[in-house]
Amino acid sequence: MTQGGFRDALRRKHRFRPVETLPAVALLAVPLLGTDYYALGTQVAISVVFALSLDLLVGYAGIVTLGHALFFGLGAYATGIASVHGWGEPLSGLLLGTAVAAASGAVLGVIVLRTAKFTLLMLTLSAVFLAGEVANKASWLTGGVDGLVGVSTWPLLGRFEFDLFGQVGYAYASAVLVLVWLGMRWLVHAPFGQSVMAIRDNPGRAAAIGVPVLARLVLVYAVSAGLAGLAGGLQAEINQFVGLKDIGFELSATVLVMLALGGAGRLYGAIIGPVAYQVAQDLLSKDNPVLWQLWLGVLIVVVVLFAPGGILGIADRITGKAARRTARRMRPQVRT
Amino acid sequence: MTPALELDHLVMRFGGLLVTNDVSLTLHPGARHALIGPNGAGKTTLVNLVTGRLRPRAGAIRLAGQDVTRLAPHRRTRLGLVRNFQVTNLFPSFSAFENVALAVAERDGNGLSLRGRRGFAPAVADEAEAIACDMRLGPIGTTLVRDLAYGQQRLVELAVALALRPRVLLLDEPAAGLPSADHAMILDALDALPAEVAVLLIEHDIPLVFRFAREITVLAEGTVIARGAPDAIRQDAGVRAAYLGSRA
Ligand SMILES: Nc1ncnc2c1ncn2[C@@H]1O[C@H](COP(=O)(O)OP(=O)(O)O)[C@@H](O)[C@H]1O
Ligand SMILES: [Mg+2]
Repeated sequence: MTQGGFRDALRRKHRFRPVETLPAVALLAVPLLGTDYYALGTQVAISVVFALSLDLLVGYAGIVTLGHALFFGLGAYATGIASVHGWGEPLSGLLLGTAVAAASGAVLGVIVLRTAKFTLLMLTLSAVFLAGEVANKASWLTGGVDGLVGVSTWPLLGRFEFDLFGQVGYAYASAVLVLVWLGMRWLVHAPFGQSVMAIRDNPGRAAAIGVPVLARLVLVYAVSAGLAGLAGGLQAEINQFVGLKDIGFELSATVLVMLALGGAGRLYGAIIGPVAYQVAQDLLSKDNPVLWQLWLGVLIVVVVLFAPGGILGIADRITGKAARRTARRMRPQVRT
Repeated sequence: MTPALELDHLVMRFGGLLVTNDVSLTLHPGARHALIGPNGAGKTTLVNLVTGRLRPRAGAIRLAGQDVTRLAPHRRTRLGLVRNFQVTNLFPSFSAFENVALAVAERDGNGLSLRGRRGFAPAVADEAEAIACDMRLGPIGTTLVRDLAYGQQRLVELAVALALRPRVLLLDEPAAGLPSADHAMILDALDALPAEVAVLLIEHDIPLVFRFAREITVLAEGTVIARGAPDAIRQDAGVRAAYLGSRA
Protein backbone atom coordinates (compact mmCIF):
# COMPACT_ATOMS: atom_id res chain seq x y z
CA MET A 1 0.00 0.00 0.00
CA THR A 2 1.37 3.41 -0.89
CA GLN A 3 1.48 6.28 1.53
CA GLY A 4 -1.89 7.94 1.86
CA GLY A 5 -3.82 4.68 2.10
CA PHE A 6 -4.58 5.44 5.71
CA ARG A 7 -6.03 8.83 4.86
CA ASP A 8 -8.31 7.20 2.32
CA ALA A 9 -9.38 4.60 4.85
CA LEU A 10 -10.19 7.31 7.39
CA ARG A 11 -12.14 9.26 4.81
CA ARG A 12 -14.23 6.18 4.05
CA LYS A 13 -14.78 5.29 7.67
CA HIS A 14 -15.80 8.77 8.81
CA ARG A 15 -17.62 9.97 5.72
CA PHE A 16 -21.13 11.32 5.89
CA ARG A 17 -23.51 8.75 4.47
CA PRO A 18 -26.73 9.76 2.72
CA VAL A 19 -28.81 7.52 5.01
CA GLU A 20 -27.68 9.71 7.89
CA THR A 21 -30.15 12.34 6.72
CA LEU A 22 -33.06 9.94 7.33
CA PRO A 23 -33.66 11.07 10.94
CA ALA A 24 -33.95 14.67 9.76
CA VAL A 25 -36.37 13.57 7.04
CA ALA A 26 -38.41 11.75 9.68
CA LEU A 27 -38.53 14.87 11.83
CA LEU A 28 -39.84 16.86 8.88
CA ALA A 29 -42.40 14.18 8.06
CA VAL A 30 -44.20 14.28 11.43
CA PRO A 31 -46.09 17.54 10.69
CA LEU A 32 -47.50 15.88 7.57
CA LEU A 33 -49.28 13.38 9.81
CA GLY A 34 -51.36 16.16 11.32
CA THR A 35 -51.48 17.73 14.75
CA ASP A 36 -52.26 14.43 16.51
CA TYR A 37 -48.67 13.32 16.36
CA TYR A 38 -46.89 16.39 17.74
CA ALA A 39 -47.06 15.14 21.32
CA LEU A 40 -45.67 11.71 20.48
CA GLY A 41 -43.07 13.21 18.15
CA THR A 42 -41.91 15.60 20.87
CA GLN A 43 -41.64 12.83 23.42
CA VAL A 44 -39.64 10.71 21.00
CA ALA A 45 -37.31 13.61 20.18
CA ILE A 46 -36.63 14.17 23.90
CA SER A 47 -35.95 10.47 24.44
CA VAL A 48 -33.57 10.44 21.50
CA VAL A 49 -31.54 13.28 23.02
CA PHE A 50 -31.50 11.36 26.30
CA ALA A 51 -30.54 8.10 24.59
CA LEU A 52 -27.77 9.85 22.64
CA SER A 53 -26.29 11.10 25.90
CA LEU A 54 -26.37 7.55 27.25
CA ASP A 55 -24.79 6.18 24.08
CA LEU A 56 -21.78 8.41 24.68
CA LEU A 57 -21.26 6.62 27.99
CA VAL A 58 -22.31 3.05 27.26
CA GLY A 59 -21.46 2.75 23.60
CA TYR A 60 -18.41 4.96 23.22
CA ALA A 61 -16.76 5.13 26.64
CA GLY A 62 -17.81 1.65 27.79
CA ILE A 63 -19.19 2.96 31.07
CA VAL A 64 -22.23 1.00 32.22
CA THR A 65 -24.79 2.90 34.25
CA LEU A 66 -28.22 2.32 35.68
CA GLY A 67 -28.43 5.85 37.02
CA HIS A 68 -28.60 8.08 34.00
CA ALA A 69 -32.05 9.42 34.89
CA LEU A 70 -30.32 11.20 37.77
CA PHE A 71 -28.97 13.73 35.28
CA PHE A 72 -32.18 13.90 33.25
CA GLY A 73 -34.02 14.63 36.48
CA LEU A 74 -31.50 17.18 37.71
CA GLY A 75 -31.78 19.07 34.44
CA ALA A 76 -35.57 18.87 34.50
CA TYR A 77 -35.81 20.07 38.11
CA ALA A 78 -33.22 22.84 37.65
CA THR A 79 -35.03 24.21 34.62
CA GLY A 80 -38.48 23.70 36.16
CA ILE A 81 -37.61 25.23 39.53
CA ALA A 82 -36.10 28.30 37.86
CA SER A 83 -39.33 28.65 35.91
CA VAL A 84 -41.51 28.31 39.02
CA HIS A 85 -39.46 31.05 40.66
CA GLY A 86 -39.99 33.44 37.81
CA TRP A 87 -37.47 32.61 35.10
CA GLY A 88 -39.21 30.81 32.27
CA GLU A 89 -37.06 31.86 29.35
CA PRO A 90 -36.57 28.58 27.47
CA LEU A 91 -33.06 28.83 26.01
CA SER A 92 -31.33 30.01 29.16
CA GLY A 93 -33.46 27.51 31.08
CA LEU A 94 -32.01 24.70 28.97
CA LEU A 95 -28.54 26.04 29.55
CA LEU A 96 -29.16 26.03 33.28
CA GLY A 97 -30.42 22.44 33.27
CA THR A 98 -27.42 21.37 31.19
CA ALA A 99 -24.93 23.13 33.45
CA VAL A 100 -26.38 21.75 36.69
CA ALA A 101 -26.39 18.21 35.32
CA ALA A 102 -22.89 18.50 33.82
CA ALA A 103 -21.44 19.81 37.08
CA SER A 104 -23.12 17.01 39.03
CA GLY A 105 -21.81 14.53 36.47
CA ALA A 106 -18.26 15.78 36.96
CA VAL A 107 -18.51 15.45 40.75
CA LEU A 108 -20.17 12.03 40.66
CA GLY A 109 -17.77 10.89 37.93
CA VAL A 110 -14.72 11.62 40.04
CA ILE A 111 -16.15 9.34 42.71
CA VAL A 112 -17.70 6.44 40.79
CA LEU A 113 -15.37 6.17 37.78
CA ARG A 114 -12.59 4.83 39.99
CA THR A 115 -14.63 1.64 40.08
CA ALA A 116 -15.75 -0.59 37.23
CA LYS A 117 -18.33 -3.14 36.18
CA PHE A 118 -20.55 -4.42 38.98
CA THR A 119 -19.45 -1.88 41.59
CA LEU A 120 -19.94 0.95 39.12
CA LEU A 121 -23.39 -0.36 38.24
CA MET A 122 -24.38 -0.49 41.91
CA LEU A 123 -23.00 2.97 42.64
CA THR A 124 -24.89 4.57 39.76
CA LEU A 125 -28.00 2.70 40.83
CA SER A 126 -27.78 3.95 44.40
CA ALA A 127 -27.09 7.47 43.16
CA VAL A 128 -30.38 7.57 41.26
CA PHE A 129 -32.30 6.04 44.17
CA LEU A 130 -30.77 8.57 46.53
CA ALA A 131 -31.59 11.49 44.25
CA GLY A 132 -35.16 10.24 43.85
CA GLU A 133 -35.56 10.12 47.60
CA VAL A 134 -34.13 13.60 48.04
CA ALA A 135 -36.54 14.93 45.42
CA ASN A 136 -39.36 13.16 47.24
CA LYS A 137 -38.47 14.57 50.66
CA ALA A 138 -37.62 18.12 49.56
CA SER A 139 -41.23 18.77 48.58
CA TRP A 140 -40.92 22.50 49.44
CA LEU A 141 -38.61 22.73 46.44
CA THR A 142 -39.69 19.96 44.10
CA GLY A 143 -43.34 19.47 44.96
CA GLY A 144 -42.56 15.93 46.15
CA VAL A 145 -44.98 13.25 44.96
CA ASP A 146 -47.33 15.85 43.50
CA GLY A 147 -44.63 16.99 41.15
CA LEU A 148 -43.47 20.45 40.31
CA VAL A 149 -46.50 22.49 39.35
CA GLY A 150 -46.58 26.05 38.14
CA VAL A 151 -43.86 25.69 35.54
CA SER A 152 -44.54 28.28 32.92
CA THR A 153 -42.38 28.57 29.86
CA TRP A 154 -42.10 31.91 28.16
CA PRO A 155 -42.50 32.20 24.41
CA LEU A 156 -39.58 30.82 22.46
CA LEU A 157 -37.25 33.60 21.30
CA GLY A 158 -39.82 35.97 22.78
CA ARG A 159 -42.21 35.28 19.91
CA PHE A 160 -43.53 31.74 19.72
CA GLU A 161 -46.01 30.75 22.42
CA PHE A 162 -46.01 27.08 23.37
CA ASP A 163 -49.42 26.20 21.91
CA LEU A 164 -51.96 23.57 22.87
CA PHE A 165 -51.32 21.45 19.77
CA GLY A 166 -47.65 21.26 20.64
CA GLN A 167 -46.47 22.60 17.32
CA VAL A 168 -43.91 24.99 18.81
CA GLY A 169 -42.84 22.39 21.32
CA TYR A 170 -42.25 19.91 18.53
CA ALA A 171 -40.26 22.37 16.43
CA TYR A 172 -38.21 23.32 19.49
CA ALA A 173 -37.45 19.72 20.48
CA SER A 174 -36.60 18.83 16.88
CA ALA A 175 -34.19 21.74 16.56
CA VAL A 176 -32.47 20.79 19.83
CA LEU A 177 -32.26 17.18 18.71
CA VAL A 178 -30.64 18.07 15.40
CA LEU A 179 -28.08 20.29 17.14
CA VAL A 180 -27.26 17.63 19.75
CA TRP A 181 -26.96 14.99 17.07
CA LEU A 182 -24.60 17.15 14.98
CA GLY A 183 -22.53 17.89 18.08
CA MET A 184 -22.34 14.24 19.08
CA ARG A 185 -21.39 13.20 15.57
CA TRP A 186 -18.61 15.77 15.58
CA LEU A 187 -17.40 14.66 19.00
CA VAL A 188 -17.17 10.95 18.28
CA HIS A 189 -15.43 11.40 14.93
CA ALA A 190 -12.88 13.85 16.35
CA PRO A 191 -9.56 12.72 17.89
CA PHE A 192 -11.23 13.16 21.28
CA GLY A 193 -13.88 10.59 20.42
CA GLN A 194 -11.24 8.18 19.13
CA SER A 195 -9.35 8.38 22.41
CA VAL A 196 -12.56 7.71 24.35
CA MET A 197 -13.20 4.58 22.28
CA ALA A 198 -9.60 3.54 22.83
CA ILE A 199 -10.23 3.70 26.59
CA ARG A 200 -13.36 1.58 26.10
CA ASP A 201 -11.30 -0.99 24.20
CA ASN A 202 -8.44 -1.20 26.68
CA PRO A 203 -7.97 1.27 29.56
CA GLY A 204 -4.62 -0.16 30.63
CA ARG A 205 -3.25 0.22 27.13
CA ALA A 206 -4.63 3.73 26.92
CA ALA A 207 -2.68 4.70 30.05
CA ALA A 208 0.44 3.16 28.52
CA ILE A 209 0.24 5.48 25.50
CA GLY A 210 -0.15 8.43 27.85
CA VAL A 211 -3.93 8.89 28.12
CA PRO A 212 -5.03 10.29 31.50
CA VAL A 213 -7.80 7.71 31.67
CA LEU A 214 -9.72 8.84 34.74
CA ALA A 215 -9.66 12.53 33.82
CA ARG A 216 -10.86 11.79 30.31
CA LEU A 217 -13.66 9.53 31.50
CA VAL A 218 -14.78 12.18 33.99
CA LEU A 219 -14.92 14.67 31.14
CA VAL A 220 -17.02 12.31 29.01
CA TYR A 221 -19.24 11.62 32.00
CA ALA A 222 -19.81 15.34 32.51
CA VAL A 223 -20.62 15.89 28.84
CA SER A 224 -23.02 12.97 28.85
CA ALA A 225 -24.63 14.14 32.08
CA GLY A 226 -24.98 17.63 30.61
CA LEU A 227 -26.76 16.28 27.53
CA ALA A 228 -29.05 14.17 29.71
CA GLY A 229 -29.82 17.32 31.71
CA LEU A 230 -30.53 19.13 28.47
CA ALA A 231 -33.08 16.47 27.57
CA GLY A 232 -34.62 16.79 31.03
CA GLY A 233 -34.78 20.58 30.80
CA LEU A 234 -36.37 20.30 27.39
CA GLN A 235 -39.07 18.02 28.72
CA ALA A 236 -39.72 20.29 31.72
CA GLU A 237 -40.16 23.30 29.46
CA ILE A 238 -42.40 21.64 26.94
CA ASN A 239 -44.56 19.60 29.34
CA GLN A 240 -44.43 22.37 31.95
CA PHE A 241 -44.26 19.71 34.63
CA VAL A 242 -41.58 17.71 36.44
CA GLY A 243 -42.38 14.62 38.50
CA LEU A 244 -40.52 12.02 40.55
CA LYS A 245 -40.53 9.58 37.66
CA ASP A 246 -38.22 11.95 35.79
CA ILE A 247 -35.46 11.18 38.29
CA GLY A 248 -36.31 7.54 38.92
CA PHE A 249 -34.71 4.20 38.36
CA GLU A 250 -37.43 3.16 35.95
CA LEU A 251 -36.51 5.92 33.53
CA SER A 252 -32.83 4.89 33.82
CA ALA A 253 -33.76 1.37 32.86
CA THR A 254 -36.11 2.46 30.08
CA VAL A 255 -33.49 4.57 28.32
CA LEU A 256 -31.02 1.69 28.58
CA VAL A 257 -33.56 -0.65 26.99
CA MET A 258 -34.21 1.89 24.22
CA LEU A 259 -30.48 2.09 23.51
CA ALA A 260 -30.03 -1.68 23.59
CA LEU A 261 -32.99 -2.01 21.27
CA GLY A 262 -31.43 0.31 18.71
CA GLY A 263 -27.82 -0.77 19.24
CA ALA A 264 -25.18 1.04 21.32
CA GLY A 265 -22.03 2.74 20.13
CA ARG A 266 -23.17 4.12 16.79
CA LEU A 267 -25.44 7.13 17.41
CA TYR A 268 -28.14 5.80 15.08
CA GLY A 269 -29.08 3.12 17.56
CA ALA A 270 -29.89 5.91 19.99
CA ILE A 271 -32.25 7.31 17.36
CA ILE A 272 -33.91 4.13 16.13
CA GLY A 273 -34.25 2.56 19.59
CA PRO A 274 -36.41 5.25 21.20
CA VAL A 275 -38.49 5.61 18.03
CA ALA A 276 -39.21 1.88 17.87
CA TYR A 277 -39.83 1.66 21.60
CA GLN A 278 -42.21 4.58 21.82
CA VAL A 279 -44.11 3.93 18.65
CA ALA A 280 -44.59 0.34 19.78
CA GLN A 281 -45.64 1.50 23.22
CA ASP A 282 -48.07 3.99 21.72
CA LEU A 283 -49.67 1.33 19.52
CA LEU A 284 -49.72 -1.49 22.04
CA SER A 285 -50.71 0.32 25.21
CA LYS A 286 -53.60 2.25 23.68
CA ASP A 287 -56.15 -0.37 24.66
CA ASN A 288 -54.31 -2.25 27.34
CA PRO A 289 -51.33 -0.89 29.29
CA VAL A 290 -50.73 -4.28 30.94
CA LEU A 291 -50.27 -5.86 27.54
CA TRP A 292 -47.49 -3.37 26.84
CA GLN A 293 -45.57 -4.50 29.91
CA LEU A 294 -45.83 -8.05 28.63
CA TRP A 295 -44.62 -7.12 25.17
CA LEU A 296 -41.80 -5.08 26.69
CA GLY A 297 -40.64 -8.12 28.62
CA VAL A 298 -40.69 -10.25 25.49
CA LEU A 299 -38.85 -7.53 23.58
CA ILE A 300 -36.04 -7.31 26.14
CA VAL A 301 -35.57 -11.06 26.17
CA VAL A 302 -35.47 -11.19 22.37
CA VAL A 303 -32.92 -8.36 22.11
CA VAL A 304 -30.66 -9.79 24.80
CA LEU A 305 -30.76 -13.35 23.48
CA PHE A 306 -30.92 -12.94 19.74
CA ALA A 307 -29.80 -9.43 18.84
CA PRO A 308 -27.16 -8.09 21.20
CA GLY A 309 -26.38 -5.42 18.63
CA GLY A 310 -29.98 -4.21 18.58
CA ILE A 311 -31.94 -3.30 15.46
CA LEU A 312 -28.85 -1.89 13.76
CA GLY A 313 -26.96 -5.06 14.62
CA ILE A 314 -29.61 -7.07 12.77
CA ALA A 315 -29.42 -4.69 9.83
CA ASP A 316 -25.64 -5.16 9.81
CA ARG A 317 -25.97 -8.89 9.75
CA ILE A 318 -28.35 -8.76 6.80
CA THR A 319 -26.45 -6.21 4.70
CA GLY A 320 -22.96 -6.84 6.07
CA LYS A 321 -22.54 -10.52 5.44
CA ALA A 322 -22.19 -10.18 1.72
CA ALA A 323 -19.94 -7.15 2.05
CA ARG A 324 -17.65 -8.91 4.49
CA ARG A 325 -17.36 -11.90 2.23
CA THR A 326 -16.08 -9.77 -0.63
CA ALA A 327 -13.80 -7.84 1.71
CA ARG A 328 -12.18 -11.06 2.83
CA ARG A 329 -11.61 -12.13 -0.73
CA MET A 330 -10.07 -8.77 -1.57
CA ARG A 331 -7.84 -8.54 1.48
CA PRO A 332 -4.24 -8.95 0.38
CA GLN A 333 -2.59 -12.24 1.21
CA VAL A 334 -0.53 -11.59 4.29
CA ARG A 335 2.27 -13.51 5.84
CA THR A 336 1.94 -14.63 9.43
CA MET B 1 25.89 12.20 33.15
CA THR B 2 22.42 11.72 34.68
CA PRO B 3 21.21 8.17 34.09
CA ALA B 4 18.17 7.90 31.83
CA LEU B 5 16.64 5.34 34.18
CA GLU B 6 17.66 4.18 37.61
CA LEU B 7 16.11 1.33 39.58
CA ASP B 8 17.20 1.62 43.16
CA HIS B 9 16.87 -1.52 45.30
CA LEU B 10 13.37 -2.49 44.10
CA VAL B 11 11.42 -5.10 46.03
CA MET B 12 8.14 -6.71 45.00
CA ARG B 13 6.17 -9.58 46.46
CA PHE B 14 3.00 -11.36 45.37
CA GLY B 15 1.66 -12.83 48.58
CA GLY B 16 4.57 -14.78 49.95
CA LEU B 17 6.38 -14.97 46.62
CA LEU B 18 9.38 -12.66 46.32
CA VAL B 19 9.47 -11.77 42.60
CA THR B 20 11.75 -8.74 42.71
CA ASN B 21 14.53 -9.14 45.21
CA ASP B 22 16.48 -5.94 45.76
CA VAL B 23 16.97 -5.23 42.06
CA SER B 24 19.05 -2.23 41.02
CA LEU B 25 19.71 -1.28 37.43
CA THR B 26 21.01 1.82 35.69
CA LEU B 27 20.46 2.72 32.06
CA HIS B 28 22.48 5.58 30.68
CA PRO B 29 21.33 7.52 27.64
CA GLY B 30 22.07 5.41 24.59
CA ALA B 31 22.15 2.16 26.58
CA ARG B 32 21.53 -1.14 24.79
CA HIS B 33 20.86 -3.36 27.74
CA ALA B 34 19.40 -6.85 27.66
CA LEU B 35 17.57 -8.44 30.55
CA ILE B 36 17.51 -12.21 30.35
CA GLY B 37 16.47 -15.01 32.62
CA PRO B 38 14.25 -18.08 32.70
CA ASN B 39 10.47 -17.87 32.63
CA GLY B 40 9.07 -16.69 35.93
CA ALA B 41 12.28 -14.85 36.83
CA GLY B 42 10.37 -11.62 37.33
CA LYS B 43 11.32 -9.75 34.15
CA THR B 44 7.81 -8.64 33.21
CA THR B 45 7.13 -7.74 36.81
CA LEU B 46 10.13 -5.44 36.70
CA VAL B 47 8.73 -3.68 33.63
CA ASN B 48 5.37 -3.34 35.42
CA LEU B 49 7.11 -1.77 38.40
CA VAL B 50 9.04 0.68 36.27
CA THR B 51 6.02 1.76 34.24
CA GLY B 52 3.72 2.06 37.25
CA ARG B 53 1.31 -0.83 36.64
CA LEU B 54 2.60 -2.19 39.94
CA ARG B 55 3.82 -0.27 42.96
CA PRO B 56 7.04 -1.63 44.54
CA ARG B 57 7.09 -2.62 48.22
CA ALA B 58 10.41 -0.86 48.60
CA GLY B 59 12.94 1.00 46.50
CA ALA B 60 12.85 3.93 44.12
CA ILE B 61 12.61 4.55 40.38
CA ARG B 62 14.21 7.63 38.87
CA LEU B 63 13.69 8.83 35.32
CA ALA B 64 16.36 11.31 34.17
CA GLY B 65 16.99 12.08 37.82
CA GLN B 66 13.32 12.60 38.72
CA ASP B 67 11.74 10.29 41.28
CA VAL B 68 8.74 8.70 39.54
CA THR B 69 8.10 5.89 42.05
CA ARG B 70 4.60 7.18 42.84
CA LEU B 71 3.78 8.78 39.52
CA ALA B 72 0.71 7.58 37.55
CA PRO B 73 1.54 5.38 34.52
CA HIS B 74 0.33 7.87 31.91
CA ARG B 75 2.56 10.58 33.36
CA ARG B 76 5.59 8.32 33.09
CA THR B 77 4.73 7.75 29.44
CA ARG B 78 4.60 11.48 28.91
CA LEU B 79 8.09 11.74 30.39
CA GLY B 80 9.28 9.39 27.66
CA LEU B 81 9.14 6.06 29.48
CA VAL B 82 7.63 3.70 26.93
CA ARG B 83 7.01 -0.03 26.93
CA ASN B 84 5.48 -2.73 24.81
CA PHE B 85 3.56 -5.67 26.23
CA GLN B 86 4.70 -9.27 26.18
CA VAL B 87 1.11 -10.38 25.82
CA THR B 88 -0.31 -8.34 22.99
CA ASN B 89 -2.31 -5.49 24.40
CA LEU B 90 -3.82 -3.23 21.77
CA PHE B 91 -7.07 -1.48 20.87
CA PRO B 92 -8.83 -4.38 19.13
CA SER B 93 -11.64 -2.47 17.42
CA PHE B 94 -9.18 -0.13 15.70
CA SER B 95 -7.02 -0.86 12.68
CA ALA B 96 -3.23 -1.23 12.90
CA PHE B 97 -2.76 2.28 11.51
CA GLU B 98 -5.29 3.66 13.97
CA ASN B 99 -3.54 2.03 16.91
CA VAL B 100 -0.37 3.87 15.94
CA ALA B 101 -2.27 7.09 15.24
CA LEU B 102 -3.85 7.00 18.71
CA ALA B 103 -0.34 6.93 20.15
CA VAL B 104 0.87 9.75 17.91
CA ALA B 105 -2.13 11.94 18.76
CA GLU B 106 -1.73 11.36 22.47
CA ARG B 107 2.02 11.94 22.34
CA ASP B 108 1.41 15.37 20.81
CA GLY B 109 -1.24 16.20 23.39
CA ASN B 110 -4.09 16.06 20.85
CA GLY B 111 -6.18 13.52 22.71
CA LEU B 112 -8.76 16.15 23.58
CA SER B 113 -8.77 17.75 20.17
CA LEU B 114 -12.08 18.39 18.45
CA ARG B 115 -10.41 19.46 15.24
CA GLY B 116 -10.66 17.01 12.40
CA ARG B 117 -13.79 14.99 11.82
CA ARG B 118 -12.00 12.06 10.24
CA GLY B 119 -10.67 10.51 13.40
CA PHE B 120 -7.21 12.01 13.14
CA ALA B 121 -5.59 15.07 11.66
CA PRO B 122 -3.99 14.38 8.24
CA ALA B 123 -0.47 14.95 9.61
CA VAL B 124 -1.10 12.44 12.40
CA ALA B 125 -2.45 9.90 9.90
CA ASP B 126 0.57 10.30 7.63
CA GLU B 127 3.07 9.92 10.45
CA ALA B 128 1.29 6.86 11.84
CA GLU B 129 1.23 5.26 8.42
CA ALA B 130 4.94 5.91 7.87
CA ILE B 131 5.86 4.36 11.23
CA ALA B 132 3.68 1.32 10.60
CA CYS B 133 5.06 0.88 7.09
CA ASP B 134 8.61 0.85 8.52
CA MET B 135 7.46 -2.25 10.40
CA ARG B 136 6.17 -3.64 7.09
CA LEU B 137 2.61 -3.25 8.31
CA GLY B 138 1.54 -1.31 5.22
CA PRO B 139 -0.38 -4.13 3.50
CA ILE B 140 -2.51 -4.90 6.55
CA GLY B 141 -2.56 -1.40 8.04
CA THR B 142 -6.29 -0.86 7.64
CA THR B 143 -7.26 -4.26 9.09
CA LEU B 144 -8.65 -4.29 12.62
CA VAL B 145 -5.94 -5.57 14.94
CA ARG B 146 -8.27 -8.20 16.37
CA ASP B 147 -8.31 -9.77 12.90
CA LEU B 148 -4.51 -9.78 12.58
CA ALA B 149 -2.24 -12.77 13.04
CA TYR B 150 -0.35 -12.88 16.30
CA GLY B 151 3.00 -11.98 14.73
CA GLN B 152 1.48 -8.95 13.05
CA GLN B 153 0.00 -7.81 16.35
CA ARG B 154 3.49 -8.04 17.86
CA LEU B 155 4.75 -5.65 15.20
CA VAL B 156 1.88 -3.24 15.86
CA GLU B 157 2.93 -3.29 19.52
CA LEU B 158 6.41 -2.28 18.48
CA ALA B 159 5.17 0.41 16.09
CA VAL B 160 3.02 1.93 18.85
CA ALA B 161 6.01 2.03 21.20
CA LEU B 162 8.22 3.68 18.58
CA ALA B 163 5.48 6.19 17.73
CA LEU B 164 5.60 7.52 21.29
CA ARG B 165 9.18 8.76 20.72
CA PRO B 166 10.65 7.10 23.80
CA ARG B 167 13.61 8.34 25.79
CA VAL B 168 13.66 5.06 27.64
CA LEU B 169 12.23 2.06 25.80
CA LEU B 170 11.38 -1.15 27.64
CA LEU B 171 10.76 -4.03 25.25
CA ASP B 172 9.26 -7.17 26.75
CA GLU B 173 9.98 -10.04 24.35
CA PRO B 174 9.13 -8.09 21.18
CA ALA B 175 10.30 -10.94 18.96
CA ALA B 176 8.40 -13.75 20.66
CA GLY B 177 6.17 -15.42 18.11
CA LEU B 178 7.93 -13.78 15.16
CA PRO B 179 9.91 -15.68 12.53
CA SER B 180 13.65 -15.07 12.78
CA ALA B 181 13.44 -13.21 9.47
CA ASP B 182 11.72 -10.42 11.38
CA HIS B 183 14.46 -10.19 14.02
CA ALA B 184 16.69 -8.20 11.71
CA MET B 185 13.86 -5.76 11.13
CA ILE B 186 13.45 -5.24 14.86
CA LEU B 187 17.17 -4.64 15.24
CA ASP B 188 17.07 -2.18 12.35
CA ALA B 189 14.20 -0.31 13.99
CA LEU B 190 16.16 -0.09 17.24
CA ASP B 191 19.26 1.07 15.36
CA ALA B 192 17.19 3.81 13.75
CA LEU B 193 16.27 5.27 17.14
CA PRO B 194 18.00 8.52 18.10
CA ALA B 195 21.37 7.76 19.69
CA GLU B 196 20.44 9.00 23.16
CA VAL B 197 17.45 6.65 23.59
CA ALA B 198 18.09 4.02 26.27
CA VAL B 199 16.73 0.57 25.45
CA LEU B 200 16.12 -2.35 27.78
CA LEU B 201 15.36 -5.52 25.86
CA ILE B 202 13.89 -8.61 27.47
CA GLU B 203 14.40 -11.53 25.15
CA HIS B 204 14.76 -15.30 25.11
CA ASP B 205 16.30 -15.57 21.67
CA ILE B 206 19.99 -15.69 22.57
CA PRO B 207 21.41 -14.83 19.12
CA LEU B 208 19.19 -11.76 19.04
CA VAL B 209 20.32 -10.77 22.53
CA PHE B 210 23.98 -11.01 21.64
CA ARG B 211 23.53 -9.04 18.44
CA PHE B 212 21.73 -6.30 20.28
CA ALA B 213 23.24 -5.88 23.73
CA ARG B 214 26.26 -3.99 24.95
CA GLU B 215 25.45 -4.96 28.51
CA ILE B 216 23.43 -7.85 29.92
CA THR B 217 21.72 -8.40 33.24
CA VAL B 218 20.66 -11.90 34.22
CA LEU B 219 17.70 -12.33 36.51
CA ALA B 220 16.75 -15.58 38.22
CA GLU B 221 14.04 -15.99 40.82
CA GLY B 222 13.79 -12.25 41.21
CA THR B 223 17.48 -11.76 41.91
CA VAL B 224 20.22 -10.31 39.72
CA ILE B 225 22.73 -13.14 39.41
CA ALA B 226 25.09 -11.64 36.87
CA ARG B 227 25.73 -8.44 34.98
CA GLY B 228 28.33 -7.49 32.46
CA ALA B 229 29.44 -7.30 28.86
CA PRO B 230 28.03 -10.01 26.54
CA ASP B 231 31.31 -11.91 26.37
CA ALA B 232 31.66 -12.04 30.13
CA ILE B 233 28.06 -13.27 30.49
CA ARG B 234 28.67 -15.94 27.87
CA GLN B 235 31.54 -17.30 29.96
CA ASP B 236 29.82 -17.01 33.33
CA ALA B 237 29.44 -20.47 34.82
CA GLY B 238 26.59 -19.46 37.13
CA VAL B 239 24.60 -18.05 34.23
CA ARG B 240 25.16 -21.16 32.15
CA ALA B 241 23.91 -23.26 34.99
CA ALA B 242 20.90 -21.12 35.72
CA TYR B 243 19.83 -20.32 32.24
CA LEU B 244 21.98 -20.59 29.17
CA GLY B 245 23.02 -24.15 29.83
CA SER B 246 19.55 -25.43 29.28
CA ARG B 247 19.06 -23.52 26.08
CA ALA B 248 22.32 -22.63 24.35
N1 LIG C 1 -0.15 -10.28 39.26
C1 LIG C 1 0.48 -11.34 39.78
N2 LIG C 1 0.00 -11.95 40.88
C2 LIG C 1 0.64 -13.03 41.41
N3 LIG C 1 1.76 -13.56 40.92
C3 LIG C 1 2.29 -13.00 39.82
C4 LIG C 1 1.68 -11.87 39.18
N4 LIG C 1 2.42 -11.52 38.11
C5 LIG C 1 3.44 -12.39 38.07
N5 LIG C 1 3.37 -13.28 39.09
C6 LIG C 1 4.35 -14.33 39.38
O1 LIG C 1 5.60 -13.70 39.54
C7 LIG C 1 6.62 -14.48 38.96
C8 LIG C 1 7.37 -13.65 37.93
O2 LIG C 1 6.55 -13.47 36.81
P1 LIG C 1 6.99 -12.58 35.56
O3 LIG C 1 7.45 -11.25 36.03
O4 LIG C 1 5.89 -12.59 34.59
O5 LIG C 1 8.22 -13.43 35.01
P2 LIG C 1 8.96 -13.38 33.60
O6 LIG C 1 8.47 -12.21 32.84
O7 LIG C 1 10.41 -13.26 33.95
O8 LIG C 1 8.68 -14.67 32.92
C9 LIG C 1 5.96 -15.71 38.39
O9 LIG C 1 6.10 -16.76 39.33
C10 LIG C 1 4.53 -15.30 38.24
O10 LIG C 1 3.67 -16.41 38.40
MG1 LIG D 1 7.54 -12.10 31.00
